[in-house]
Amino acid sequence: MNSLLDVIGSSIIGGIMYLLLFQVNSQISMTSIEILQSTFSSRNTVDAVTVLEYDLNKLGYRVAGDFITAAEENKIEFWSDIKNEDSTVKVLYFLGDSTEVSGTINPNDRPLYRRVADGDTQMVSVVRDFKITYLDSAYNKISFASLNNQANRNKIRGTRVYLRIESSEPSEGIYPYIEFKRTIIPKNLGRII
Amino acid sequence: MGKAILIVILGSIVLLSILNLSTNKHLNSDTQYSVDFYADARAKNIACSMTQMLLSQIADNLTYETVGTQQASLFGGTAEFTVSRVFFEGDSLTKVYVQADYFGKERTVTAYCKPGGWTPPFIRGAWTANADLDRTISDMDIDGRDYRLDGTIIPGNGVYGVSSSVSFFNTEDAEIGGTHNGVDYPMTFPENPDIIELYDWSGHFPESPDEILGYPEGTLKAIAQSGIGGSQYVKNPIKDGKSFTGFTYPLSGVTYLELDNGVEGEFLLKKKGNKGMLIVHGPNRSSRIIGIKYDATSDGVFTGLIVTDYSFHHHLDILGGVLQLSPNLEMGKNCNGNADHWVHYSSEAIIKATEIVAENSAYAGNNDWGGDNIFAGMGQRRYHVKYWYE
Repeated sequence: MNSLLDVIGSSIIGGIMYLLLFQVNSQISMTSIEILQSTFSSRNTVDAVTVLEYDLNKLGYRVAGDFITAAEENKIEFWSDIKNEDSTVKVLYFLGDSTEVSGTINPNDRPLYRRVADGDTQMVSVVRDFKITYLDSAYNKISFASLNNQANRNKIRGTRVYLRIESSEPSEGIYPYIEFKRTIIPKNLGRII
Repeated sequence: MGKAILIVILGSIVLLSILNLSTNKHLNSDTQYSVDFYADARAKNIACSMTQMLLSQIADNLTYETVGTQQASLFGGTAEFTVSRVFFEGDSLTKVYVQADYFGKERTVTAYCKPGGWTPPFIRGAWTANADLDRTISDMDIDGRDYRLDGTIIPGNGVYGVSSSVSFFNTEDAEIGGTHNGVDYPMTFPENPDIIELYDWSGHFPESPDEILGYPEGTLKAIAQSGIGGSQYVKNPIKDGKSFTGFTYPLSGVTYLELDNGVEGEFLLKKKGNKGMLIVHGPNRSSRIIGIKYDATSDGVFTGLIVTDYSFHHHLDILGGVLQLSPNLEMGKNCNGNADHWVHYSSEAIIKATEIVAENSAYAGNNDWGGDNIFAGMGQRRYHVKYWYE
């Protein structure tokens, strides 16, 4: 009788402990996944921003003529001696279509492309949104309509970059995201008043 | 049964440990990533700040160069830097190279710079003087808000409408506007009293055009005589009627008219597009211009900075600023011809006007007026970055 009670008792206690451990394991697994997703989004954002800043800070470096040749909400084309090699090249950033992204189940993900000179188009990052606004010498926003004109593009003295990067997989039904906003005033444009 | 449960528990503990280790590994990796990012940002800040500090130093001492590589501690990191003179992109420039290090993360900045245009701190108003301006301004429209060259206004960036060491009374209903504490006041009559400044210069008001820019005496005259950028120098020219002759129009660069004591006449603008610095000066601020006007070939607009000793009858429009040096301006006559003419302060126009002198004088100009207050800000505003690579 005592043996039977021992078996039943240890089964109950063992079962409870097992359930507790299972619960803890599940929680840790879930947290780990969320951390991984967050890390991925954060690093993706930081990497994209690093590349963008690297290029935009050099905008107009050693350029004598028109320094920005396309200024749209989701696209910028500018000139710079980006590698400091005494040779100015055209740098292009633009947002692709969501159908061009694979490996993500987030339907809103779109590729952010970068092309230097006439080289290959490379994907900088997968983003939900990429927007640039353009600022004049008083840091006022220049309307996109007026930026169709090269004379108005030559009035650009700064850019305000907005990035929204979402997780590739949803967590509890929503896609966690990170937003990035930064005003970049390329110093090379300061010489032109 | 007991053994089986023990195995399950031990297995779970092992699994838990593995998950914990994995999570910790990710957390450590993230922390390291953050630390690296922070260190990189810090290194960038050190490099940029050191460069700006050097630009300021160079603006105050244009002969400053380093012998070999120098090192400084900044923001918890170190910056190694060189300052040298180079010929770059077809121009003689000062090269500043800074390599910053913060906990192993390195950033570099290379800047090529030279003196550039600026707004001298003496220009406190669209019209600045050290005397009674009531009759000189008369009913001219004066606006200290900051106009761009295209006529639009840069909000909150302007100066007083009128600034003088003597109280100004708007006796002829002039419309006056300006900026005070970052607030723009459109031209009105009566004007908002905040945009009229009564300023105590405590003996620091400039006595020569060179002093306005913080230059050694004779610099502007030498630039005018050199002819750079259309500059011209004329002394006691003959007159056609009341008007001085001998100038080439449209004016550009530095136009310097030197008049001896007792010589007076009118300055007549011709053609369109007159710009730069227009200076009329004589010994001890004695020159007298009894009219600045324009003929039928001109649009009547001067873009830049006008500096005179005594001048009266300003029958023209000015985009930039006016500064009068004489302590004795007109006190008896009336001016009825400047109604509907205007002075619009424009930092862009003044920067353009001072640019040619800065680039050709090798002087970076002033950032204060010799007193304790500093108005023009850090030196890099006077020492301009032409090329920046980071």
